[in-house]
Amino acid sequence: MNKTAVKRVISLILIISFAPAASGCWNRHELNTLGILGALAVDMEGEKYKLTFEIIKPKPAAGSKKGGGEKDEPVKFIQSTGDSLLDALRNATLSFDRKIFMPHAKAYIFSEEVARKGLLNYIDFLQRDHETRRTTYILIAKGSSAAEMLNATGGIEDIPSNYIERLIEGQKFNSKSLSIRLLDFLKYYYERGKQPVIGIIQKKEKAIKEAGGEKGKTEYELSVEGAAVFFEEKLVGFLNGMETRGLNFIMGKMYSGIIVSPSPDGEGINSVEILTSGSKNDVEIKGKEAKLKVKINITGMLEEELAKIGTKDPEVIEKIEKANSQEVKNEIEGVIGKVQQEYKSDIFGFGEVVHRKYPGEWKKIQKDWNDIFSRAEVNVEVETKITRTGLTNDPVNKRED
Amino acid sequence: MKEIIKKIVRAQKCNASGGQSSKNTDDVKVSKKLADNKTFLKNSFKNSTDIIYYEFEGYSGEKALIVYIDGMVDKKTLNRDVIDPFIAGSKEVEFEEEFEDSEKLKSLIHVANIQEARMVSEVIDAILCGDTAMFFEGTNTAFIIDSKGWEKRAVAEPDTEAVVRGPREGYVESIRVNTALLRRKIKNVNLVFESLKLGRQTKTDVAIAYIDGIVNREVLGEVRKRINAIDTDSILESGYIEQYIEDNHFSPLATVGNTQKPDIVAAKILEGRVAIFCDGTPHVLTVPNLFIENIQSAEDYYVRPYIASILRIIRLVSFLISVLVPALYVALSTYHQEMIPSVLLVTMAGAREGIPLPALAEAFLMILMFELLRESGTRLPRPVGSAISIVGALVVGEAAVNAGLVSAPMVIVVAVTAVASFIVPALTEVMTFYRFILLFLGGMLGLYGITCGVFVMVTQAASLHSFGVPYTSPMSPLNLEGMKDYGLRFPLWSMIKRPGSIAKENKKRRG
Repeated sequence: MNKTAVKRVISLILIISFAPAASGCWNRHELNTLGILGALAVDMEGEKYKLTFEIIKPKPAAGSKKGGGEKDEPVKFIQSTGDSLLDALRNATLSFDRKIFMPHAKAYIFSEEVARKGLLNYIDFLQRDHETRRTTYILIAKGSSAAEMLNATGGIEDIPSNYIERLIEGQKFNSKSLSIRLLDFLKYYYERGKQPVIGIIQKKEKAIKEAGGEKGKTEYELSVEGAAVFFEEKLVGFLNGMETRGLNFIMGKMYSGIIVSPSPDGEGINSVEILTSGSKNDVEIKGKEAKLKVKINITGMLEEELAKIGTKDPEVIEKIEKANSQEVKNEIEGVIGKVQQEYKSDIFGFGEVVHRKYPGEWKKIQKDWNDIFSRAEVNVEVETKITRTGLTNDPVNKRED
Repeated sequence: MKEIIKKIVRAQKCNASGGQSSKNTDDVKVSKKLADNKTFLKNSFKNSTDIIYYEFEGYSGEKALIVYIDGMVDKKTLNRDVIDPFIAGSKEVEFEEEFEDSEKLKSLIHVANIQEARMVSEVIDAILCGDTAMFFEGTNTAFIIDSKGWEKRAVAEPDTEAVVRGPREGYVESIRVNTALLRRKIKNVNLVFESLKLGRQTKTDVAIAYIDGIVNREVLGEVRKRINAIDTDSILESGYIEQYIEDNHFSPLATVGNTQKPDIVAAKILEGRVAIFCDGTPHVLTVPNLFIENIQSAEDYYVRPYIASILRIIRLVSFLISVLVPALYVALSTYHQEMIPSVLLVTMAGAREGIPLPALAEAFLMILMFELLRESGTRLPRPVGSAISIVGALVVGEAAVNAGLVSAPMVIVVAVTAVASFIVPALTEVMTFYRFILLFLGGMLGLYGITCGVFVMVTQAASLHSFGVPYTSPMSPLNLEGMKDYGLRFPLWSMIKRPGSIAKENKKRRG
């Protein structure tokens, strides 16, 4: 063998032996050493951080089910406290036998107390660590501690975190809630012209008991209706469901929803299902005063008509459209008014519009923007177009006499 | 490593030379005396008992000697058409005292193919091939009578290349039958068979087949050069030739293709390739052999283009599945759990609960088990083979999972891999090799390891040449005409030219 061949063999061996070092983190974990985190709840206990983990139990293979009627709980709850989020996370391993595996977490839930103190202290770890995802939903627990949200299951899903995830994703059917990910929160926070909003979650007593439920025992379910309004990193208040829908209208996040308006002629009501909705926000600046303009375009489908007036006549449709527009207009004006008066926090992102439209002025008024916003005059225009009226023209309660 | 092996080979060559000296039969002429010829042949054949020497006197007093190998000649032909005419005599041919006129003698033999030989070595070679040698007292030429006739397997459908649509005939062990099968497909004067004998001891008949005017001259020249350079004792199967002439002896991917079907050989030489027939085996070699030929099937051209394209894509995908799936499964489940969808992860984790082995060892054992079953099933007679598969399915599939030794998803992964590996029979061995390498890389280094492994494999394949044609063509280097017959099989009418990476002259197929 000549010299070059020896050199080649040696360099090949060297390359192969260096290869493992280039693979970065040596994090080999067998599946059965992981505790898969479903959801994380963050509370305060005095000055300490109290974390509650929902760990999803590995689903036993279908064939190897153990006998007996006893139903196995699909999740396990662990609680730990510590001086920081990471400290508390590691303390969990003092009493839990598996490594907590974070990437599959569906939601991080923060208590109201935590949110009022300021969220940033809590999310630095979540956005820095390589195992956590920024696309995880974040929620503010309203009314009770965040930990309590984890053990209420009101849906079909066995696993509470899945139940919560589905609730958040239901936003596109009702538009009365928000689906905000960690990433969105950070984006809102860093954008100067927009204040953060986060979805909320609250525990409610169930109106109807489960079939076969115990008597006298109160059952709970969760609700994500509403939104939490932030100023900078701190929680300043909440919006109710209808207000949240107004917020979604302005942010252009209306995917569906039902608008109920009084019938123009008769005494009944109409329901219009929103098919598409677009928004165009504009701001006019005059010195230190601003004028906010919101223009909404809706196409909808008439789903309910309870006023005994047929919808054959295009004029009737036009009237319904107007009533519908008025309803939406009220809703939007309501939410902007409330935020202007109570929270003084531009959660709608009008500041962004100003930034884009008046880059020079924006630099001057940037600091006072939330004040300017809360004083600003609001002009809302809504246009509705009803394109379909369902399978029939006549309402069900109209009889040919 | 190449260097070491070459050195060893060189050392052995030195020892071997000198041991084999050429015999002194080379320059011995056929004698006029029968007895001399007989003794010489008997000495040459070392009194081997399967050689028959038959002396007789003809009707006109001519003395003759017939030599042949028992079992290799058709005795009916020999008795009826060779011996009988002499003994019974003939009115047309009258002999004087001297029987020197070979033309007259020849006319008595009722066989189409008779040659005259003056050298004893020619006679010996002919006898060894199954011909009959006939000597006459007083003539110094021997007749070599084509009387080959031995037990042959009938032309039948090959087990390994079964088709639903298409010809069922397959090659047999006799080279003459095989060349005739090809000639029946291509009735053209330009179809050329070049014959030669290989193997110092075995003297195996080998034929190079190509179509003059279509064949790639460079490839043909290279084939001739490499085959002529073969210097070995024995050629028992075309695999021997393949291993002597292939481009890269250390590559897992084969640069010489083989098939058992005449229609495939015909299609390949019509694209400008060269086929190499070898006596004693139904496997015919074709060169150059490109990667995509492993994926192509004869049936692709007999069915309509849509289904052919779909099937071909399925084959390509199954190649990837078979090579990559176990490695990906192990890498994802031990390093990149965040990439598995949550619901699937929970199920997979549940199945792995209580499994004593790490995923890599589990996968390795299962694949090894499958390879054992496959190998034992291949060599065993059919009835026992099915017993093996039952044991395998029960023990591996059922008992191992129930006993908690192996997780159910792993069984599924290995089963999918196994099924996929049979879809491309030409690559089964290569896939096994690649699979194990990638499995270890994936188990040690995660996706990073798999990426590195695939990178090396693709680079190696792209660096290969088969008789001067890049192995990965027509994909790389790109040849658009050739791409019509790659992943998608274009309609036959649209393939106007022959694949450009092989055919260099007479490129047009139609139009």
